Amino acid sequence: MGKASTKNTLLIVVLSAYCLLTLVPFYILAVRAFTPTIQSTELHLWIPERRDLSMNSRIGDLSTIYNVDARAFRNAMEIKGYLNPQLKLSQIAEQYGIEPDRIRDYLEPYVQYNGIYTIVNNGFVRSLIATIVVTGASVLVGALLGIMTGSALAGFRRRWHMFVYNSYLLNMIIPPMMVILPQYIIITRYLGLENSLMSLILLHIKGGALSTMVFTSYIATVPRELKESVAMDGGKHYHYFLYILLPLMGTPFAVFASITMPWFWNDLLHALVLLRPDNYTLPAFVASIGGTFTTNFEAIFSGVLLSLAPILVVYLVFQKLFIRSAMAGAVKG
Amino acid sequence: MKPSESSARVASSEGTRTQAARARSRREFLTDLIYIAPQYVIYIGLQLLPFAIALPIIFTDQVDFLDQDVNWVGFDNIASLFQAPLDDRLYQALRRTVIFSVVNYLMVFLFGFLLALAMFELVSKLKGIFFTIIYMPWMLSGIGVGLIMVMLFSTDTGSFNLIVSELGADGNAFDAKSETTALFVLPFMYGWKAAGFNMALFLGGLLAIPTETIESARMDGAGYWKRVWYIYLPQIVPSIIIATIFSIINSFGIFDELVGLGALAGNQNAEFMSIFIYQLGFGSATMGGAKIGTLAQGITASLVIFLPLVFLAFWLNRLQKKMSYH
Amino acid sequence: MSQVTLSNAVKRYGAVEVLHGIDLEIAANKLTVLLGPSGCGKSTLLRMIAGLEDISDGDLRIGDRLVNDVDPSRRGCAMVFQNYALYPHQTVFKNMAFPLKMKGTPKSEIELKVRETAKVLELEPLLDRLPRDLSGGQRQRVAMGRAMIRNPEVFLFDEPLSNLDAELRVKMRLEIARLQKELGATMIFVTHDQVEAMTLADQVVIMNGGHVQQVGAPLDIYNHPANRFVAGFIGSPSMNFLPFESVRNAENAAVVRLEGGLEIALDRVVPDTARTLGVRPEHVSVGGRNLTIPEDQFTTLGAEHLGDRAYHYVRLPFGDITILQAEGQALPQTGALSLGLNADRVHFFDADGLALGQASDQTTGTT
Ligand SMILES: Nc1ncnc2c1ncn2[C@@H]1O[C@H](COP(=O)(O)OP(=O)(O)OP(=O)(O)O)[C@@H](O)[C@H]1O
Ligand SMILES: [Mg+2]
Repeated sequence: MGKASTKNTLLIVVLSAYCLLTLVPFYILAVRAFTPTIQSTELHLWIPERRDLSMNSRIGDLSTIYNVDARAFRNAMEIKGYLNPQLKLSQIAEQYGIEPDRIRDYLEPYVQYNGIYTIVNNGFVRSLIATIVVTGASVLVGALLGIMTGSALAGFRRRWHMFVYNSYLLNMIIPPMMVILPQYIIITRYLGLENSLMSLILLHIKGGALSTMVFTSYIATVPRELKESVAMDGGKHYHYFLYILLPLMGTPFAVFASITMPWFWNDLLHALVLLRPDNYTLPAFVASIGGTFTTNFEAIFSGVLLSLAPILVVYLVFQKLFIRSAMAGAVKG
Repeated sequence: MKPSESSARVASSEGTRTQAARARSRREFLTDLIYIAPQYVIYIGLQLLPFAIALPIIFTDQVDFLDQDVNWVGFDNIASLFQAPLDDRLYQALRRTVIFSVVNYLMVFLFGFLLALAMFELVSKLKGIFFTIIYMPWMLSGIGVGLIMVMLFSTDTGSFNLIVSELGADGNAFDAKSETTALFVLPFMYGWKAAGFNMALFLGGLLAIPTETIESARMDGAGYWKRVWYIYLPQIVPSIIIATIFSIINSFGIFDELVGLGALAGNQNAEFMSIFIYQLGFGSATMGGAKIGTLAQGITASLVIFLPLVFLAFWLNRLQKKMSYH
Repeated sequence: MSQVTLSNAVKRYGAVEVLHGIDLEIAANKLTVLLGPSGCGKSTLLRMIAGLEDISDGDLRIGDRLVNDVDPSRRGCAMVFQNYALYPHQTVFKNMAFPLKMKGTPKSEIELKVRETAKVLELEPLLDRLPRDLSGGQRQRVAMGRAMIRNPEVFLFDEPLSNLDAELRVKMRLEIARLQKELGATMIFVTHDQVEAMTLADQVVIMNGGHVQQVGAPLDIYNHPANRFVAGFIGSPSMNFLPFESVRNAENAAVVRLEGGLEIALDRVVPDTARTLGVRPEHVSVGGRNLTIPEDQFTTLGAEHLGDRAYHYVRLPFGDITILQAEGQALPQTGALSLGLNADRVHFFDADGLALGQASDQTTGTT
């Protein structure tokens, strides 16, 4: 007995240590998303105090450090013509007769929440909405199509059903990189879906090993008497599908959704290839932030953090479902 | 009813019989089709058709997607991959991809399998919390993982480097842009991200082992690691094969993490096969990269590299089906 | 008013023929039981009547209508499945309302009919429950309610009681019989439980290997089995079969020489073509003088005691026989075993297993 409980304690210690280590990068990410880029050569284990905006800063330095758009600043301050980047803020106030507080109010957010402010100003919200639309539509339509396929394939009543099923399994072993170039050709040239979220959704709902396996095998466990009973009662196949089958698909839908949602949410390759920056979903947006603001770490890490946050919340709220699905998928193999 | 009458009736009803049966099976076929077709049409169009389109292109000199002046060049594309100026980059990319894949495969076991073993033996209420936390990094995007590596391992600004130097080391422990990081730290981070996924895979296999076999091995006096080797491992071969397939496909296709490491922004050390192909195909067309070859060469490279993988995965898949009937 | 008539009905799955030309008339407004061993094609036959399986050959009529190619919902049949096939996500009310909803019945009328049916079946308090919150018997009643609500001409039951425990099975059996009387509908009931068949049926159809073996009232079938299969299938324990070599007929008497040399003397004539004698355990008595078995020719195999009676199993040179005795009466321990056979209850079968003229017919024929 003693030996078993020692072993168990040891396991708990080891696993706790691993879990703590797992959380460390998340924690550091959260800290760095609010650490001014200018302080990134110092180690911060907690969000540092912000220095207030100094009226002695030069507007040019602010542009480089905090990604203040000089032109937008000029417009907001109604300054016409060239603005010398060497000018200090106090000098600008003096020279152009602007209230210092007005300048301060405009620039303060750049300094105080630079990361968040930068990404929000550069299209984060638009990308967030695009990602929600793409992920939501992909999960829902993908599930619907998967259920339809499963409802016909379950039981493999015909030889060609097996063929269709196997051809979906093939998808599991085709690396996305291998077909992305020709997919691009088809989508842009033949479907005319350049820079359209629709193209991403199409690629997500095209069906594959997961949805086919999950729905077909679950529907196969629904007694066929239910279908026969509907037929006896005068219902058509679509009655059976709508009234009986769909309401019973909660469990496989949870499996499907919880496995595919991270895929769809984080799909970078297709977004990068098929969309242009004005339509970017979050991963592509984060990649472009990484490319554009290579020196503004605060903005980059804020981008990573904010694009992770929504799906992380969903995960934590539905964690039981996620875990059960992971196990269900694993057992099915 | 007279015999002649009855036989006439049977004959006529037989005619309608087969007709009606045929009509019914046609209706059934149509119903099946209506339910299968929507997804299958998209699947064919976007997953299988691309092969058909890709194949002819690899024998042409098509430069990009807008190129109108396309000529037939035979096997030149395949040859050109192995000649200057591309050959060097191809070999480098291939070398990195292969080393990375091997290390990454080890991480599947280092993280996934060991964690699964620990969870399998653990008796505790904490199990759920552990699982939740271990699975959490799976929500992170690939690009996020790449950027987190930048955050941790950049020279002078990486938090990990800063911690290490705080502890007394001088200089940087890692350089996020170095090849060592891409080859050895990246798989580690990837293992961390996929830990929960692989753990679930192996745990599923372990839970399916009949407990009698474990107990009888115990009675026979097999120690713990002996049991793992002789009882557990042979019985979770199907899970191992699945994990292997996933690992191979994911390793060779790894892209997002590399983008995070700046592969499209000039970090040559993070140029793996997928980046190489992407540069060939899209290079200048999109952000970051630079055009280094033709579209046709990109498609050729992807087929040359990935087609053997597809066959390998296919074979492994067959193997898995066979093993799981034991 | 709907009898169900099958003429030469055949069912094939691919090349395999499962039902071989069934000719059958199922009486209107009666309860008919299809009885037979597992795999004999009862379910297939029932599902053909329902329209869930195609008819490969032959005709099926319900009433006067040829329904071979009629859609299941237009045949006027309702079916109660073995697993009830209740829609698991719908309440009892919704389950029962479903057939009406499919027909497009107005809401108010649905409400009315469901309540009315629920009352008959004592399901009223359960209308808002989900199937998973019901007991087996209640689920069974819901399934029946869903069938009844359409006022079908023909009810089809596929082993509806087999998922219930013994006590409930008896109760539901009575209930089905009562409903049948009340509704006066045609009911076809599949089972492989002969007690169920005997107690429930107006008419029993015995099937084996895709053929109909015999059709008749339960007692008729018990008393006058048409062939060896039916004789052996009905009645438990099974009828004893004694194969014999030859018969010597005399006036109103005969001597049957069994394989192995023993002889049975009977006070009746035995048909010439008979090859096997059959007699049920309850029609064999110890101490009679029809058959005497010397001490060295039999061994007792044991007995099953049922409280009021006991079945004794005895091994003879040509096979085993079973004898029913009242409890407390044992077989003689020493000496020869002499048995009496109830001559009127002895059956004879020819080489093909067909039953030959009944004892009663014979006697009336000769006197
Ligand atoms: N779809 C099918 N394809 C081929 N053969 C079938 C099919 N369905 C049933 N059979 C065969 O038809 C025969 C009759 O089956 P059926 O289900 O009617 O038997 P049953 O009398 O209902 O038996 P039970 O009492 O076990 O339910 C069986 O031998 C079965 O194997
Ligand atoms: Mg059956």
